[in-house]
Amino acid sequence: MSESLGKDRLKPLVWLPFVIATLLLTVGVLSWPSHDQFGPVFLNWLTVLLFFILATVFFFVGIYRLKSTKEEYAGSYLRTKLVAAMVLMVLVPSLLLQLTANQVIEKGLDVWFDVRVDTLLDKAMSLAQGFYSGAESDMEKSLLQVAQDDDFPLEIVTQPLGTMLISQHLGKLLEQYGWHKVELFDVSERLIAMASKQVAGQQFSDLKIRDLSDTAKLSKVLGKQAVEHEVRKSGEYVVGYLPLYMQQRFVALLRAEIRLPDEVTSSARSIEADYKSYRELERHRQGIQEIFTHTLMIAMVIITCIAGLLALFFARKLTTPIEELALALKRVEAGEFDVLVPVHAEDELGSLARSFNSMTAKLRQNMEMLQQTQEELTGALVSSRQRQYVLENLLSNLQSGVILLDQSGDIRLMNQACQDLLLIPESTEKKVSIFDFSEAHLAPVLNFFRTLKTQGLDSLQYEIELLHGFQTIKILARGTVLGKQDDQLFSGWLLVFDDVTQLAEAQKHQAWSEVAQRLAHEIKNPLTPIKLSTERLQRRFRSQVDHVEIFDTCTKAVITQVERLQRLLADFSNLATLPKPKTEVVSIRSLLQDLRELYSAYQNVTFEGLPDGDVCCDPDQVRQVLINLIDNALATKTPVRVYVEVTENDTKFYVQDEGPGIDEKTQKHMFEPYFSTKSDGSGLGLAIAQRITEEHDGSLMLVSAASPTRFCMCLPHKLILRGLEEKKA
Amino acid sequence: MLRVFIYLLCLCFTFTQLEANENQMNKETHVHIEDGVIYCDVQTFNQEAYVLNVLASGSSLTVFWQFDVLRKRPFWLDKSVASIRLGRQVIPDLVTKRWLMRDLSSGVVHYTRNVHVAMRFLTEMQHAAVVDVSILDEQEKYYIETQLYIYEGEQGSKGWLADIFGGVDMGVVELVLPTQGLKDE
Repeated sequence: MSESLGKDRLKPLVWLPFVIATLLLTVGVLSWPSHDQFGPVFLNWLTVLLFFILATVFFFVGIYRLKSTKEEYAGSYLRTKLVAAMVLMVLVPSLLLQLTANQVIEKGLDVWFDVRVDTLLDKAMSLAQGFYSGAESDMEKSLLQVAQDDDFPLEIVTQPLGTMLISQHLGKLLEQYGWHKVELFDVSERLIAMASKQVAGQQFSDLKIRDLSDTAKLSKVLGKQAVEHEVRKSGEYVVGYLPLYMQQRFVALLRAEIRLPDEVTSSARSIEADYKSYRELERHRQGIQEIFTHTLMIAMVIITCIAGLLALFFARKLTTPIEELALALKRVEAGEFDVLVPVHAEDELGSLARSFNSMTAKLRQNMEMLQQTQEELTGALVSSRQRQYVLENLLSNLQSGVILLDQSGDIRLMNQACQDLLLIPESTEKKVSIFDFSEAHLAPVLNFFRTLKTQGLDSLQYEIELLHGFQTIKILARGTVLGKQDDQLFSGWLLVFDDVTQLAEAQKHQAWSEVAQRLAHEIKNPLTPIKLSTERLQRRFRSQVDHVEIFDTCTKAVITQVERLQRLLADFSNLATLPKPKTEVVSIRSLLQDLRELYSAYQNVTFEGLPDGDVCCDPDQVRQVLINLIDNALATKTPVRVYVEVTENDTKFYVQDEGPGIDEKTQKHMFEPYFSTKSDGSGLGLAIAQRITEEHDGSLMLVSAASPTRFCMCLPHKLILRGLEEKKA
Repeated sequence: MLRVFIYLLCLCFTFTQLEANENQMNKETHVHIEDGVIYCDVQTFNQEAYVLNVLASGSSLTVFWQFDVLRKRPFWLDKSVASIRLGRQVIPDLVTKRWLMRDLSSGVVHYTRNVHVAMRFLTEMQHAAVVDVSILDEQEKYYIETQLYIYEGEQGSKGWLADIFGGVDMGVVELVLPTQGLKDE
């Protein structure tokens, strides 16, 4: 049961690694870095790589578990549970921490990128931009005012190039508009005059071409004033360009510059830098959050992996003794008692292992003792079985009937021969006690036991007769006391019955045969001379006697009696020296046909039916039996019926008369030789008939003693087979 | 398990195809030949908002347009015949509301006060000379593969990994050489 349960629980949650692998793969894909990823993408790639590696590991673990046909070894479930518990113990707080951290980061970012900060920065930026645009606007206005002065282009045209006069004019403009520097370039872009805060006016001896900026060139080409912003090492400047015309002819390009205050520019640049940084961060708000998330996630994965490995290590250390114990238990269950579990440590598991070793040692001793006892018992049992087998075979093959009774008279053993011998029908209820022998014909058996019991004899033996129907069975009963009354092993009686009917009959026949032979020998010899002498007397002295009639009567009587004696002796002789039957297969019809012809003169003899079939017998002897029976029946001078009944096993010849019947005394002795109720009968007819029948392995019985009286001669069919075999041989 | 795997693969390919179709609609690449030189006009639309946002917020942007001329080879990887990488950069100056536009290939610098001009300077590449026809074999088939790399800042690189995988595919244009066109006619 447990084994089947174990098999049912084999490879539990086999799908779990695939689910975990899929989850890890999904998280890995979700962690894929985007194109506008803020900051280094290394963390993203590391996260992706970690998740992919873990997913691959779990996938292969799943494949291995799926393909593995090996039964889960002992302790694996416990180990898995321990590892899972420890990983969960780490994973759950880590996840909670991750979620909390994410929330905190999100809130922090919300605070960081607050609308007020946003607005403030925008305003600051606008202020900075306003300062720069104001400076440019001032420059444009100044240039516009200079452009409206028509004398200045005339002055440039009329004055020779490089004279101080123009520079002085420029100095005035410098003072008027608060410029830091002003320069004048001719058509060929040569610097012809200049004024600055440091130098009020300057005279140029050599006129050099200066490289003008694109804005200046554009201004010159377009003929429009232009303002640009220049950032130099010294600071930031607003530079304005004004093309000067006289009568629509370009005469010079005025370049004026204002240096912006360093404090203001640095503040403005600082605002710009902060603004840029803020906007950049705002743009990458999601990315920043992802960085934190990925960092935490990587930390969580690494911590979980470390925790898993540590859990695996400790779980293995913890479950190894359990695994060894479980394996040892399996071996013990399989019958191996010489198993020893190694004791790894002096802890509870070590104590358990020690107890297990002690238990197996005791079990081994007990098993050895048990085996020894079992061997002894097996030997005894075999011996007992052998004895019982021999006894049973002996009893079943024994011709004698045996009954074993205990002290209370209960039957402990009764063989089949006993049942057959005592004519106990199988259909009746099984006899449990000797006192269940309630049938009338079994009364002598019960009496025999009672005699044995009441008289307290060690043994008893005498012949009993069982009268069953018209059959009398002579049985030699022997009883013996077994054991003493207080014998604990067994005490009771053993009753042995032997059928001595045939033996008695044989003895009787033997005795009669001897008598008959002696009588025949002693009487037969003088009878012939007596008869011859009497006949001689008759022939020789008949004429000489006075009273012939008397003489004749006497001599005839002597002769008649001698003849009668001779017949009687012949019968005796027949009884003594009855030949063995010469059996042959004879048709029943022909057998009866002969008899019918024989008794055709008798009107009161009826042969009913002439059945088909054969019977194996000596026809002369059988015919003699039937003649004896018919003659006896005819003596009653009543109608005589002769009929045959063929059954499956035998052929039964019935002779029935309607005489007065046969009394009990006659029934008892009628088959004995020299018993006759007729004055002239020899008393050997039925005795010879019975002897002939028995020689044929059949039986001659008085079926009905009362009127109508009926005799039955039963011849078994097995004789036919025997006869056929003999014929073949 | 196999069915799930096949299903996931199909799903991946479906997404890839959808993304490819979307990308195709958000870009425009033309090739024309003038005086024996192959020029390429290329423009991307789906990067405009991003570029505009970055430039308006004051961050510098550097882009590189990479044009690869490849020769088709049956049964093998296509061979790169020529490769040209053109860079452009915009550096905003928020306080003065100017955007400096620099062509990294030529070094030409100029300013604009319109952020959209700066944006188009980065998202468009007109008349880019890619390769001289003379180096191409008439008997072979060629195509031009264009990729756009966008980097925030003035550095122009995010590391070798991003340089390899961070490009935005601008499509592939089949090259029809003048003689081949005549032959076809």
